[in-house]
Amino acid sequence: MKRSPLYYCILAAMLFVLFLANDFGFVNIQRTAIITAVGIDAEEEGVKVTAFTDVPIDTKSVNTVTVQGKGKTVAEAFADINAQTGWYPKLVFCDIILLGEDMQERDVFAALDFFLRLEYARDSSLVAIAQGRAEDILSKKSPLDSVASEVLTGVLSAEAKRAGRVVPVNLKDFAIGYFSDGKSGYMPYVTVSEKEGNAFFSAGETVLFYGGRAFGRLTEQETLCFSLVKNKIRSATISAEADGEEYSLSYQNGKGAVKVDIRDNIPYVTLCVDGKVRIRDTNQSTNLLRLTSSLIVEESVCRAVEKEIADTLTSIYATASAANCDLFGVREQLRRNHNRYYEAFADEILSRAVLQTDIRLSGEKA
Amino acid sequence: MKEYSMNVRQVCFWCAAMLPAIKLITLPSSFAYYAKDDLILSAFFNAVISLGVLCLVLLTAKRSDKTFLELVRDKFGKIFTRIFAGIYALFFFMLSVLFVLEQKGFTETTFFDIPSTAFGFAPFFLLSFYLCLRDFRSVGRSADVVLPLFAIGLGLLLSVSVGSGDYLRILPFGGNDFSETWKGTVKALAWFADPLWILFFVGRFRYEEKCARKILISYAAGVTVFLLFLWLFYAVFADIAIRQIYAISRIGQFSEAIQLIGRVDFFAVCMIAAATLLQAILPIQLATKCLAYAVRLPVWASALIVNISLFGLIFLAGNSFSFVQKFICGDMLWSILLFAFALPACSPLLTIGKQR
Repeated sequence: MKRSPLYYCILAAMLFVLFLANDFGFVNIQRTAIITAVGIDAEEEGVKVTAFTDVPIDTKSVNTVTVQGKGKTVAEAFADINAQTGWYPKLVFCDIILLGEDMQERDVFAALDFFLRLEYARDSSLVAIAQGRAEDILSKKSPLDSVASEVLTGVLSAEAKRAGRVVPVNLKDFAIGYFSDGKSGYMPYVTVSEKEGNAFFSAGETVLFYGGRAFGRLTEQETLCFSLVKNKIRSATISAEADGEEYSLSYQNGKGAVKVDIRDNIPYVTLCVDGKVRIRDTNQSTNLLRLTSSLIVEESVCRAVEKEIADTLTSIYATASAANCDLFGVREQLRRNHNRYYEAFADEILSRAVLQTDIRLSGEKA
Repeated sequence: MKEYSMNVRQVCFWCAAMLPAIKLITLPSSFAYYAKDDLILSAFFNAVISLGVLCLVLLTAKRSDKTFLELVRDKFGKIFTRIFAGIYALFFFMLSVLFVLEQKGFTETTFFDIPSTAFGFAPFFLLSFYLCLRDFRSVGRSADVVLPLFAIGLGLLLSVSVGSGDYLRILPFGGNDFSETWKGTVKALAWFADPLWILFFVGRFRYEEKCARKILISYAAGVTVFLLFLWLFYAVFADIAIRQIYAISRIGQFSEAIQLIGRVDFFAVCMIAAATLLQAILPIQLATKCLAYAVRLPVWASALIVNISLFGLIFLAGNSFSFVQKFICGDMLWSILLFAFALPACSPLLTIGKQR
């Protein structure tokens, strides 16, 4: 029978895909452990690694188990896990790397660089600091999902980031900050509250780093304000008080920016926030007309919120600058936009710069 | 009437797909290592040099209908040409070691979840041996098949990566130490040996009116795509770009869609890999043909010698791509300058006194 060239093309394409899919490699799937989350805790000598592992039972189901290993380095701890179980740890599916609170007293990158070195790990894994030990957090049972790491990836998701309540960061972005001239970075601080045996996670606070070591923590309110500058916000809820009334405002499609300018040999740093607000709720009953026109936010309310955000940002900047932490990426802005001043100003810009805030919230006009 | 094994369209496709594809694997991190945020500038110098030499190669194609080795034979005689072909066989073999080691590392890291066995990459040599047995018609057909794959693959990869970058990271433009930027250009010359490949296509396609323009536009389009990719690469990875050795397999992972549904960007990577694979095999094919010409061997024997030697060398070299890169792009740089740039640039001299 004469076959058409198309037949051979399809056959070749199938073989090519099989080759690239490593089906010719014949890896024993039963001996392969797919790690979805890793917890790293400090030990007296070295680290303890807790790996959340999906072990295939058959072709349709997996069993999630926790395995632990110890070693002077993270690699040694993984080798320990391998020695105990015989599994090949696969890190290509690792969604989250959770560091125990003790780890922040050392240079956290001494542990994280293992994942950056490894070609078979991904740089998009989320990184966070746990309240207490990472192994404890990862072993909690949540009503939202039986696997804590799944809930944590939800808490630190891109959607949560767009709501402004958390500032999730992945390994790549933390590494970029760590290796930049600013040597600065941040990570969400994961806390857990237990109610009737169920664990609920929160990551509203943010740990600040300089040179890989933690030196401070932003409160939930400070994290929100930092988020307004740092991230694109789709819809965040901001509390405000004006004219004796408590407001919950919805801050929508907001943009933040950090601008650096040099005028008369003096560096100026401006933290900008620009977005629309609308009334979501108040603590007082209101009339139907006002309820209907929630797009209209009184000037006094906007100014009160702007002032609060500006004060909070000023406080954050002062805290970070005192530790030489370039939290807002000021040096990077200086290098990009005023490179000829970089050598002269880079070292001391955080302390020398005049801080300004440009906060613009607006609702529909009445 | 001369029968041509390629046509202009296929040469254009080769310029637009294969030549940029091979540059997408380790070259972006190499540029980032030397030139940092001036990596586009560094690559631009390479592009200008290659484009200049390519113009001279196309002048050769315009003036003569003969292949490069036929032109050398006409000028210097048979014995000299056989020695010349033998030297070129060695040069192509050296470039093959570099490109195949790069392919090996890329394949093993990207498509294997854990370190693979020593023979995991062996099927590559079956494909290579098969293509070495074929004439230039197979090269042209490969270009026809692979261009759409490459275009779709790269389009998909760019579309999932484009939202993950900060595009102002390349500022300030030209702010780095120029000597380092230039070093990036020099170290990348092996990947920009493009005029050499086209020189060996000369005489195998009919030079038609506006042919040079079409080829140059295709080449410029391929290079532009590569420069845009470099921008995206640095926008995504910034200072840690030097660590991202296999650029195309790393760049798509930060997309929200990819994080939700898994690494479907690997389909795009597979499509691009088809183009890189064929470009990596081209120097092996040329080494086979030059060796066969030099020592008057049948093509199958020459293909066997080249592929078995290469397989042995790659097997012994293991994962020493960095060492080989340093040796070829450093110690053997003179050979790249001579065989891939200087001699192709001088090729129009072989056509002096000749008229189509």
